[in-house]
Amino acid sequence: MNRRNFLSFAGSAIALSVVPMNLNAEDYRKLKPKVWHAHNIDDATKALYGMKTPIESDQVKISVPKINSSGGSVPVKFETTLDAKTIALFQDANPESAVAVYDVNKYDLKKYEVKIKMEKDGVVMVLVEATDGKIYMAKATTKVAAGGCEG
Amino acid sequence: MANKITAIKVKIKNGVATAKMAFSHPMLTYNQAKGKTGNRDDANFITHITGTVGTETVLDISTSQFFAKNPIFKSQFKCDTFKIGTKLSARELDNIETDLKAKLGKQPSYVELNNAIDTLYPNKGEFLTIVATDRKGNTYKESVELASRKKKKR
Repeated sequence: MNRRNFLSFAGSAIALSVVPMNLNAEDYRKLKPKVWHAHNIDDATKALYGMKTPIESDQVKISVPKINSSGGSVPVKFETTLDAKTIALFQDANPESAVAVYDVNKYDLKKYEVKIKMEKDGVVMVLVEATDGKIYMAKATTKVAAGGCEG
Repeated sequence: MANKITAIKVKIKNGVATAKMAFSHPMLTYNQAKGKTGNRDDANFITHITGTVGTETVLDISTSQFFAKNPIFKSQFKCDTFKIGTKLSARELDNIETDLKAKLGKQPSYVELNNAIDTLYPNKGEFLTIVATDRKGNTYKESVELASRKKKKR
């Protein structure tokens, strides 16, 4: 084996060893760019999961305060006990509806807490893509006294 | 104010780690950017967050502009397969410092103190590393040790 061959071989070996590390993290902004420009929950759901209709489920829980003094930070807690592949958080108060997409791994306990911005009163929805291929969801309505976000 | 990861805190109980991370970031949406600078393209927000322990991914979020300014994220993961260290109490740290002071005859430097702590405290846990990227391409990286408090002896 001459030197040039050896170098190219070594290069490919390094490339192969790097790939598995990148595989277990999915960037949904690059994978599904349409989701982030959808203007309502239905369009965002279609862009992310195709034409499947979400089923309301008790195993998905979401809790949002009924009235928020400021829309600048609305605390949202959500969790699920289903075997999930991905979990998405949407709302319909802002110009675009997608907030976050979680890629679930084997260590994840699927229990999250975040603070989001809301321009006006609206619905916050959690969608869970289960391992059986179905989409489950839970939603909550909340009121915002002063909008915290101009879009 | 510089954008950064302000703090990461990890609490460990019964093999479950609760990680809480706070960012210092304006999370400027497109319309807010237009109002401030007149250019929608000045919007800047965190787009992706990953948490890793060693080579294993424990947290992966693709985010949008609708998180609050200076956002806080909280999540839980199983940590019973990772190595977990034990935290020293404030009294133990003080004792190490006074012992070292008596031994050296002067106030120990930061490096000397840390070396002494490392030798007396070899049971270090694995580190949780959080990497976040924002729309302008900046990356923020911070790591914290997985450690729990000692159990009290009775």
